[in-house]
Amino acid sequence: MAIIVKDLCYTYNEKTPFATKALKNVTVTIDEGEFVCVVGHTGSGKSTFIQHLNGLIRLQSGQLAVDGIDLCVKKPDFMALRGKIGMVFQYPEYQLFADTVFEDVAFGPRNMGLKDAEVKSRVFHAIERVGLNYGLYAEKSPFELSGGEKRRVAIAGVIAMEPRILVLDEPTAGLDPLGKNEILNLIEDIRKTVAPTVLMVNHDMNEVAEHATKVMVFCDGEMTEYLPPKDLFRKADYLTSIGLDLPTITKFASKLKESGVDIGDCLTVEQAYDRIIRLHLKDR
Amino acid sequence: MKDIAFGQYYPIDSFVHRLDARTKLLITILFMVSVFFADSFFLYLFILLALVLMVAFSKISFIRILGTMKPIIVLAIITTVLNFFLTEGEGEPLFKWWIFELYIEGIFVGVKMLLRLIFLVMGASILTLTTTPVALTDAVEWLFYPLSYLRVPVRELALIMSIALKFIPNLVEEAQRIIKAQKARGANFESGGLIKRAKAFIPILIPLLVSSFRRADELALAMDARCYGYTAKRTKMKKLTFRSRDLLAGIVITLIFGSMIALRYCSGVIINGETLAELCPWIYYGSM
Ligand SMILES: Nc1ncnc2c1ncn2[C@@H]1O[C@H](COP(=O)(O)OP(=O)(O)OP(=O)(O)O)[C@@H](O)[C@H]1O
Ligand SMILES: [Mg+2]
Repeated sequence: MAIIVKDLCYTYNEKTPFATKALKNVTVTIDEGEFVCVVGHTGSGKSTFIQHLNGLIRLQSGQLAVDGIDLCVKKPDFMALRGKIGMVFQYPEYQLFADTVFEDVAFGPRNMGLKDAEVKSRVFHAIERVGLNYGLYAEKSPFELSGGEKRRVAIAGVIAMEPRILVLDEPTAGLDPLGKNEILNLIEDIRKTVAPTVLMVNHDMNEVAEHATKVMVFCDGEMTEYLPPKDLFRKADYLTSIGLDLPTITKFASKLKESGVDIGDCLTVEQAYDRIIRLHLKDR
Repeated sequence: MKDIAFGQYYPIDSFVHRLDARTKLLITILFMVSVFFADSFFLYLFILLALVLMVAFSKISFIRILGTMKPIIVLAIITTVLNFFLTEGEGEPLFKWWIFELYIEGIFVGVKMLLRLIFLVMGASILTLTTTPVALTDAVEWLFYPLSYLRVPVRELALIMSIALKFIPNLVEEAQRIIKAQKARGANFESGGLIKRAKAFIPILIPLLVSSFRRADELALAMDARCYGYTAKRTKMKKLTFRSRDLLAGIVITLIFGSMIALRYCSGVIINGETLAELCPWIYYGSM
């Protein structure tokens, strides 16, 4: 079991007029190997939840254990934790700072206290893994790259620490469709090679339907659902009631059903295509 | 990290919050001037009285206001110690060690300077804690309006000030975000020597600078798009208005500081053949 959360509560600015309850009694167990998509309306507590996972937000109440590291103790081993769980923030390109791409990607591994040779090999692999050519990019300044390239470099900076769990906060925000796809494929690739467990905050239900093995739904600080996407998208009314959308193809399938053509629940275009073709052939 | 936002507007409702920003600005200025006039311990009581009134009617906890002292604690300690040992006095030193000599005068000067510093910071914090940046800017603009006849660009300066004030919380938020991101990559800001720690801030400062420039650019563009500066006169969304409570607050504060300053300059007044200073020496105890 990769992540165990029990009765997690969190209030920002406790005991001031600014106090906001951001998390209320979140309880969940995330198994290794899951691709979890975290969804919920704006301000529902998604970012607050995921920042708990690597100790960036200190536990106020509840229990939390990540890959065997207990975060309830007085002084958790943050260094070990941050090597195990990599966190890519929203707009990660805004945190680039070094003179060269190499130095920026090397920041994490160096902080882990690795030897120079090891750092070098990790940086090389990380840069190549995010689809950039090491020879071309390593010595460039991160500030002269395009937005999409910057984001890759930022992700490389996290992967270079070789975390077992990768957490991403809206990694596709502000990218064009092609860029989005590339980042998502990149994440799938990372999942197969470095980090088997992935948590991703995402607003695009099409992407959720396509990639998630489990979906975590947040609403007003509560985690209301944790289930596979095909089960979640059956609850169309519930999702709409908390301000969430359905994948386009699922809406398409239910529209078809209304007009008497039942192709079942569909999550991806491929599924819908197969079933429609099958129906079509059967009719003939 | 939250301390960067010291003295940030604290949104509750109170008498002081509802006062006109101009009143508060004038009172704060009067307060600061008076702090420099007060030179004996008795006269400091007047300042303290005004401060206590201001705190009580702002409904902000005393602890919170004292908390705004945090960033200058080091400065306060250094000034006090320097005053203690660098003030030469008459008579025997109370304490002597190597080249350090402590005179009673040094203690007086040190304590008074410390009090002055505390009062000044607290007075200023009450102003910023109870006044929104926008209202404060309008008040400053009003105060310096006469200068515009001398072709000083008062409005523009006020706008610069309000933008600066408005961007402080944004900057703090951004800094926190970047700190978190670098911490997630194992950055360590807490351990190591001075140079190592200073170096640890580079990964925060550079992204912060970059994003500040980006924001400034975007803001300039947005202002341009809305034709800022194309019309001679800008109107205000929230007009400041003086009310009776402003008069009340003004009178009370003026009375307190007026009597304090009057007392200070009346030391030579002769009552029944004796000067006030001789009659009531406690009023002037500690002044030099
Ligand atoms: N640093 C902070 N200080 C105070 N309140 C905060 C802070 N960060 C978040 N909040 C509040 O906590 C609640 C949850 O915020 P959070 O950022 O977790 O939401 P989110 O689900 O990530 O939203 P979004 O989709 O917009 O990113 C919100 O009501 C927000 O206003
Ligand atoms: Mg968020």
